[in-house]
Order: sequence, then structure tokens, then C-alpha cells
Amino acid sequence: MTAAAVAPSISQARIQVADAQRPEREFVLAAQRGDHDAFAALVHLHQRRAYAVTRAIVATHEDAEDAVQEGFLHAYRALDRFLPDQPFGAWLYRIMANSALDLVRRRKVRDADELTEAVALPFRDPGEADELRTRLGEALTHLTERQRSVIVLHDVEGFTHGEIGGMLGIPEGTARSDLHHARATLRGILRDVRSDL
Amino acid sequence: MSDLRLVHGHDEDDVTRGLRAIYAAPGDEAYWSELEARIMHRVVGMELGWWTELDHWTRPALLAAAALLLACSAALFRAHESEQTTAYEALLAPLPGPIETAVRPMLQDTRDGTVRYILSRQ
Repeated sequence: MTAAAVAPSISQARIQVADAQRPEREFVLAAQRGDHDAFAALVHLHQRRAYAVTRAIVATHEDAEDAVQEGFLHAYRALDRFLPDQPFGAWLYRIMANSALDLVRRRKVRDADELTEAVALPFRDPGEADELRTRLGEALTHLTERQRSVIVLHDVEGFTHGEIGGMLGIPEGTARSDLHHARATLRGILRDVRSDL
Repeated sequence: MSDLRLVHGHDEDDVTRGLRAIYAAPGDEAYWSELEARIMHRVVGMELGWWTELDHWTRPALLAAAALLLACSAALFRAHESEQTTAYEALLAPLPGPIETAVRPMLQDTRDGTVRYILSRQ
């Protein structure tokens, strides 16, 4: 099947999702039987959240996008091993987190200096006029990668400590501790910035 | 305008707000449609994978193998036919004169010459 042949089926899947007639479990079961439309529907349902997970871990928007694509490919390959009674989202986001962590590791090996600069400018918007955003972007470079991921996954995306621990492969208590330290670090740096103004 | 209202108690609100701004996902629906299409394109491409590639090459490979087999068979047949013709012609061709007759005078001449040489030296 070619990409051109896939396009109409994606649209059909989108309509099906919009109608929300079929529960997620049915999409999963159909996708496991090799139904591309069903997998497209799962992609449609989860890609935003998947992006949020990967974006919390990698340094740039482009890397997050790459990690999302890789993550969905991994998920598709591993789909036959997924038990449909489990929550699909949790399973998928763990794959996404692993995909993002893999990407970070590969980037580190390839070009550590470039990564450091990218962390300093984590937002893709070239304007970046908002001062808080700028200061915060700088402050984030003072966090470890894991602390940064934990605070974004918790404070921005609303994942629980347990979910974050599952995604990043760390104990729940460590996720809690990372969050505490990340907040304290950011608060301290931003307070120093204010006193300098 | 600065949003850095870092009065104690407001810090985390500001931090969270700032983080949300930094890590916001693209809001454009077209972006997500395009990403979804790209993902599905790769999924379908991955599934077709090397099986399709093999399938693409199967027909030419079979044709090439058949052509090679025909060429080999024809060559073998021609070689066998040529051998048979040569053998048949060899049987029918008249035999040349006895080799002994042709060679003996030369040998005799050489032998006589040698004897004459030895006798002349004595």
C-alpha cells in the first residue's frame, strides 16, 4: 500500500474518532489485527499527549517530534505484545518516554556541546519576548535532565509521581524528590534574577 | 511587561505558567494532521518492509533464472552435438599412412650418421 492509498483511510479514521463511537479498546484490538485505520485513530487520539511526554524529556521541539514518530513505530511493532485490558495510554507513554530517552542518549554521544546550547533555548518560538519565559529557560539549564523532565511532566502535563516514575524508570519517591529539588532550584534562581532587576 | 511576580507563594504559579508557555504543544490542527500522516506513512512503509522489496525483485529474478537455465541447456546441447559430430567424422575419415614408415628413414639416417662419426674418430 502506498502513502497516497493511506491518506483517505486516515481521514476516515479521523471521522470515526471525532464521532467517538468506538472505544479505545476496539481500536487497539483492530490495530492488533493489522487494521491501519484503527492504528491511525490511536495516533490521532494520543499524539498530543505523546508529544508532551517526549517534549518534557528532550531539549527541542524537533527532537520531541522525532521521538513521537519513533515511539509510535515502536508501539506498532510491539502492539501484539500489548494486553488490551491494560490502559493503552500508560503503555504508550512509557514507550514514548523510552524513545525520548534513547534520543537524548544518542544526542549526547553525538554532540554534547550542541545539546547544552539547545537546553539553554528550549522553546522553538524565535520571538521569545516574554521575560519570564526567557528567565525560566535559562533557569532550566541549572536542572538535571531528569529533574527537568519530572517537573514538566508533573506541573505541566499533570502526571502523577507514580506515572512519572513508570515512564522514566525511577522509583516514585525519586520522582517526588526530583520534583521538590527542581522547584526549589527554579524558585531560587528566579528570586535571584528578581533581586538583580 | 514582566511576569516575574516572585512574591513568596506566587513562585510556583509563575513557574508553572512559564513552563506551560515553554513546553506548549503546537496548537495548529494542520500540524497534527500532518504529523499523523507522517507517522502512518512510516508505519505502512515499515510493514511493507523487505517483503515488498523481495516481492518487487521476485519476478525479474525468476525470469533471469529461467533465461540462464535455457542458455545453459542450449550450450550443453550444442557442446554434446559437436562432440558427437567430431567422433562420427573421425570414424569416417581415411586413416593416414603408417607413422612407422614415415619416421623410420629419419631415425635410420641419424643412427647411421652417429655410427659413421664414431668410426671416423677411431
